[in-house]
Amino acid sequence: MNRMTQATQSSTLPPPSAGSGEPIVSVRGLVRTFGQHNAVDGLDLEIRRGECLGLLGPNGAGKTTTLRVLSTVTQATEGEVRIFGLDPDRDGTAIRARLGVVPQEVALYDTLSARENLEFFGAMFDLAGAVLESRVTWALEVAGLVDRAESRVETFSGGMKRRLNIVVSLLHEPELVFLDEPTVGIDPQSRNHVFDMVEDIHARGTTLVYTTHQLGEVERLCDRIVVMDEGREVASGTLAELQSQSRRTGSGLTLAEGVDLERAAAILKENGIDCAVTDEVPDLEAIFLALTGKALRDD
Amino acid sequence: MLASAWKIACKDTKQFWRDRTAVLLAIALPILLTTIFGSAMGSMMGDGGGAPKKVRLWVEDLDQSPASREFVASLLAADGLRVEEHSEARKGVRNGDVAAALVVPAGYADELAGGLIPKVRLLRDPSQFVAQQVISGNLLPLLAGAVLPNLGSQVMGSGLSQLGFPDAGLEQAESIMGKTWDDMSELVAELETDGAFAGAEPDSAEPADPESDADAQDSEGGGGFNFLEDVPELLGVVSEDVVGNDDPDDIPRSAGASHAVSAMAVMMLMFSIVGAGASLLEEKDGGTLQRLQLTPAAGPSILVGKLLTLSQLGLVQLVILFAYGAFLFDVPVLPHLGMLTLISVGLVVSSTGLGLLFATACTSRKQMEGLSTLVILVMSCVGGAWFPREITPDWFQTVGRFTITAYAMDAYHGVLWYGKDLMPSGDVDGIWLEVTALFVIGIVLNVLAFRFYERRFGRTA
Repeated sequence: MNRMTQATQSSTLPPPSAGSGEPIVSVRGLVRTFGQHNAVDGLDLEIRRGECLGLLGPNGAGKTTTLRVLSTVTQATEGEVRIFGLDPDRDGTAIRARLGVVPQEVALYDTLSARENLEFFGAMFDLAGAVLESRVTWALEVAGLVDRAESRVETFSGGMKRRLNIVVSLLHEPELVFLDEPTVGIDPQSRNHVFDMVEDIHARGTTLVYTTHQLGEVERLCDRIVVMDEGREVASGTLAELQSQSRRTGSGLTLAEGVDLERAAAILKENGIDCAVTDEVPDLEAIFLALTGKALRDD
Repeated sequence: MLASAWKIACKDTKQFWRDRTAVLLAIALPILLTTIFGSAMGSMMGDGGGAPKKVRLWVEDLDQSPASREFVASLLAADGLRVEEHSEARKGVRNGDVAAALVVPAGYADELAGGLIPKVRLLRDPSQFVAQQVISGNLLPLLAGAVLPNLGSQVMGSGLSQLGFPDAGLEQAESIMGKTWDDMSELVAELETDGAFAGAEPDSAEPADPESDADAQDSEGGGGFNFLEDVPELLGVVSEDVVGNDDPDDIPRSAGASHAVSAMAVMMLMFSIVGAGASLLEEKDGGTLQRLQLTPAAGPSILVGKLLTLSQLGLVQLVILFAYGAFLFDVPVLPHLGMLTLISVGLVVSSTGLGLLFATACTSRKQMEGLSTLVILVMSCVGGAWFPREITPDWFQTVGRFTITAYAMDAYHGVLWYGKDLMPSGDVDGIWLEVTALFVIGIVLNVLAFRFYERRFGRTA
């Protein structure tokens, strides 16, 4: 059944709970082409200091490519990208020093211990001596791996590896962290631990970009959401804003302010249009499917 | 149960044929190596028509008389040898350019005219013992038949007797020396089978030519008859080993050990370095490469780090192998430590380049393992790590010249056996060309590897 939605009463958006700082990532008209295929096709994006941005989209939407460009690993084909006000083409090293990326796959050295992995990656970010030692200790505590610090990673469970995978990217206290599906394949306990870790680093003022297909995680963790599809942004805002937008546009019918909904519905029904007035608030999954469709995406 | 087993077998077979690397290793590699081995061995033993490969023999005519020219012409026309005239025969043998050289001395024509047996000097590189056998076998009929037709039978009769040739075969030997060498060989083989040589003693311990006293003794240390060593002496050939140590019994061992240690060092170094180079693909598959690319130290430093690891591994391996060779086989490592280090660094640079090129050009570890195994084994085979290139066909040697193995083997063997230095000194050539080639190949391969790395893993990828 169609859902009739009412226009937002006010045009003023509610302020985000966090991330009201200055933009630290600014993307204008980003295009990244692979052969004839535009993986990212004219994306505009802004990430504000201190916010936790949920980056959503079906498979092949261009999320990972966008993150690779923002991580300075992949070069943009077209468009302007500024990270911390710096140009990735010229200042990649300086940008990477202030950036943390938690990759989707566990990327650790199996034959090294947890501590050795942390020490190595810390050293790659130029941490040394007492600073490195204290950051490693912090990371082991945050990941809940103090007791297994000297064990080889190959002996770890999936959850332990995931936790270590995250803290490795946080050793150098990055200002901006990209988390690419950090909870794939782990049990609820470890997932909850990861959520606590993410909330903790967010509370410290770190800017986060969180991509996942678990929309509940975005609802829990993110201040603002950007939905991508076919290389472009199709919606953005806080969850409340997206819900509001969805209610406005879900039926394709916009009513002027002050219209009596019950009367309008009655008129529509009299004219053979099946409709109902509802106060139901769509969840993020409903919004996501409404925005990106239900067709299967196989990359 | 059988039905299930059959289904599993069918599935495995299908998987095998879809795995191009497995097919390459299981079928293409053996075929390729069989072809190469067959060519090399066929050349050594006879190329199908029964004719053995023509081994090169240099000849230097210091007499330049009609008689000496006639002798040289008969050598040049010989079927079993590839005789080439050169003016610096000793230098050629000394540097390993040729296994042996025959020097026709000044006064050759005069001695011949005076009814004497003219002395010709056979300069030999004893490390090339297979070639020596071929040369001796082919040289004798030329000397006996073409050079000394009138003296052959007489000289052979008394000479053979002096050297302990059994009386039972003496008359027959004299008669057939004027015929063909094959008949003589058959007779010797027959007498050996009958055990006739066992009880025979030489009539006199005095060698025919005091100048070649050492050469008159056979390798088993005594007065027994050594066909290929003793008969040439009767025909005026004075043999001289111009390379090697003072202990003739130790020469084959020293030469073999030098070759074996060099060969193993080169081949195993390439295998280990190329194998270790696969860690780049492991890092890619495991995601750690991407993680490294996200550090401030990204870019070429990742590949440079790999290069340093591989170089260090290669040098440690070479140090251990040569130390072991020195300890167990008395390979002369310490006297040539500087040159061996230089060659090893060149070899490590080129092998590292090869390993990194494989790692950056191949798409998977499996593909890299298959391709690198194929390339390294073929390079080892044609490059002289398995058998001396001298005994292989010409095309084989030409291909071998383009391999890292050949340059490294020539350099190591040049230093360890021929005592060469980097630059030429006196009659001895230097190995600067081989060392330079190793470094140039290494630089080219490393540059290519960095290009491939940038293309596959860089920001433009």
